[in-house]
Amino acid sequence: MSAGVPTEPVAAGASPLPPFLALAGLTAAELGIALAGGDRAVRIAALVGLLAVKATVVLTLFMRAQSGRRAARLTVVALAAAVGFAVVLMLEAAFRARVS
Amino acid sequence: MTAAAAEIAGARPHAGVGSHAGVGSAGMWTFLATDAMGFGGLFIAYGWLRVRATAWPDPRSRLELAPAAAMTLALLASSFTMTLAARASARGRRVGWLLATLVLGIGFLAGAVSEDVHLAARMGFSSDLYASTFYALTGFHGLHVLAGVVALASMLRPSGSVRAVEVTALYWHFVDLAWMPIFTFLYLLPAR
Repeated sequence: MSAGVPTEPVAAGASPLPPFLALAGLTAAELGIALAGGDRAVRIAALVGLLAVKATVVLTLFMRAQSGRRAARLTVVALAAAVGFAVVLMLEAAFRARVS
Repeated sequence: MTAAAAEIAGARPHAGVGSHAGVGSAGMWTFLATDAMGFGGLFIAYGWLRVRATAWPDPRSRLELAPAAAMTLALLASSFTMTLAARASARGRRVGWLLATLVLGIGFLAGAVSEDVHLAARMGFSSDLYASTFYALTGFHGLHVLAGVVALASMLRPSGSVRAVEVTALYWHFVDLAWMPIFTFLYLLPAR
């Protein structure tokens, strides 16, 4: 097998319950922020931050993407680049909306 | 402690359970890398169109948040049960957790179809840019969930291998992961 595919599972014995509860809590926080009023740019930044945390939890604790697979890293880079690009565009739009 | 409780608590049946090592796992990661680029392309298109649009509707004026939140929780719970299914697979007791995952996946699909049926009356695919990007992204993701449901159903056969369940679990977690930005960008992000 190619290098980069580990032979030892990472955290194979860890319970999936805490990550699941954390994800449910973060989703509830997202809903709270979306429904709350307030500054739009702050809400966007908070929602994007929570999204990043949720994605990190799934990638590291469910998919174990940090364990050295090259393809896993490529997936992370592709996802992060696409989402990051979209986020930058939206933050730029939010900034334009505030100054205009 | 029951077997199900032991799996939730993270008891380790034997070394190697939960491992994604192997050819199937490497192949799945490679597939997910290319698939992530497909989702990435759609997200970039969405972001670009949203920024360039002179007007963009507020999601809450068109979409109902409560059903979408329920669908999100169903997917999160399905990732949890899928992890347990992969662990229980080594003990030959995967059917219960796989069935739970399957039910949650079908529940998500049912929610998506119900939402689309309700939306179709007032928002067609070509109504505006928001509608087009919404249906393209949710439809693309829905097809992934459907493929996952079919894969899960095939795992219910007693002859299915432990490795196959682990690789399917990887795919299912990716489906969960791909839904997260869709939920944030399409349902939650406030408009101008």
